[in-house]
Amino acid sequence: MNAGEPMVTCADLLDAVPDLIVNAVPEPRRATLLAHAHSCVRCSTELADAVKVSDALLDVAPTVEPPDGFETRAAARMGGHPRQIAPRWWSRRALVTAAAAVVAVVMMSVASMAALERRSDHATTRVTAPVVSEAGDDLGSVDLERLDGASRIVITMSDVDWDGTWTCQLQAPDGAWVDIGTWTADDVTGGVWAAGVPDGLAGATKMRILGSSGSVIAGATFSAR
Amino acid sequence: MYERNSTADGAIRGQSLFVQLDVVWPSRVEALSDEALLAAVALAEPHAATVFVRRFQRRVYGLAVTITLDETLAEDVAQSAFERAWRHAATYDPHRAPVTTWLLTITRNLAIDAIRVRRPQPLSPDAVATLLPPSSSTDPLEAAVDGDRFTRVRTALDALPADQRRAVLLATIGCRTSTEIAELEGVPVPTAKHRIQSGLRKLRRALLSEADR
Repeated sequence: MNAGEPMVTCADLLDAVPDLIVNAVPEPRRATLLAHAHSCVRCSTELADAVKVSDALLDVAPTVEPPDGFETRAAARMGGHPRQIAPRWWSRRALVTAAAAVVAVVMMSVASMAALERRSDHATTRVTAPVVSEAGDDLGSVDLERLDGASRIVITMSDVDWDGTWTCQLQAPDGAWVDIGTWTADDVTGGVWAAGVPDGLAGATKMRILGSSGSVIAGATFSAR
Repeated sequence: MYERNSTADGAIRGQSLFVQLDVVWPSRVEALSDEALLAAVALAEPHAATVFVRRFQRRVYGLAVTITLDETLAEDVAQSAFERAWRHAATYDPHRAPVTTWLLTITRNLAIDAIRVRRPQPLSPDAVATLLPPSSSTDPLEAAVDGDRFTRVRTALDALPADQRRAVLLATIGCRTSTEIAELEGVPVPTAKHRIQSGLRKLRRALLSEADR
């Protein structure tokens, strides 16, 4: 139970489901409700099912033609640009050169597509970001590492009072915040705390730390990769 | 539009080399499944981004404008959704949800953030009507692509009492809070919540199989 927050019952959680699924419950109440859901199988299932149904209903959302130029602008933001195929060149030299380029691109594309089937990750990658308090103070650093196909997060904050319960969250691609782990002072060694990260969050760009009350204590933003 | 041809082939005719240069890139990418197309986006395959936007733009923009009720804001939300999908394409897990659901979830969350920042917009009774067009106006292309899933959802929705169906749609697609729904429907907040919860439970029984639990 978060300090200052009344005890949450199953009835409270169920009553809040309609607003939880649209992120309409403010903090720290939201954190308190989710903490209850984590500890209650029935409430966890109820909430998870509501989210699944809500997601399924997106299939029947209205379709609307976007404004002119939307496709070009959106593709540009994704790093893609409409491409034109080069006109034919009828000179012998240009034909041979172009043919070689075509074959090379075909081979590269085939290889890329084949790679989708056998992707493996043996490389070690690490992104590091400073951990900054809500007041803008530098509290330490966080590493998001990937090694041999497994990801983990390592938070280093040496000059911090670890009293209380702390929760680390990563922001999922859909914008939702996902709990990675909770720790107390007993779990910290040398100011370092680490935990495994699900594959779906290995590319997360934002991390935040919640205090015992569920309020945001600090955060970090990883550079795009 | 370029037609599919064999890969570049050559034939020696006398002393010259003749090569056919019809290529297939746009139509090949367009033929990819949603999952493969998203993977192609992650790999920065030529044309993949454009094809991806073209395939989903009506649904993404449609959801964005449904939630925000503002065409300018909706375009910004929709553009941001595609950008976010591109940035996180490599982390997509096909076991969790279809690409469409994944992309629309991103869109919904961005739209919710956008309307929370903006001052509340008044809701009109027409808001409910726009959330669910009549069954007869179903986009044939959309239905053909996702026919089974779409049909299941529409059938389950049609089976709900009208007040529960309206409340559920306002909550899940319209992303309205229970307070906003209560105001729109002219009922107390507990009544609005009860309609949403009852509707969600009925839909859960209809839509979620044991394999999904």
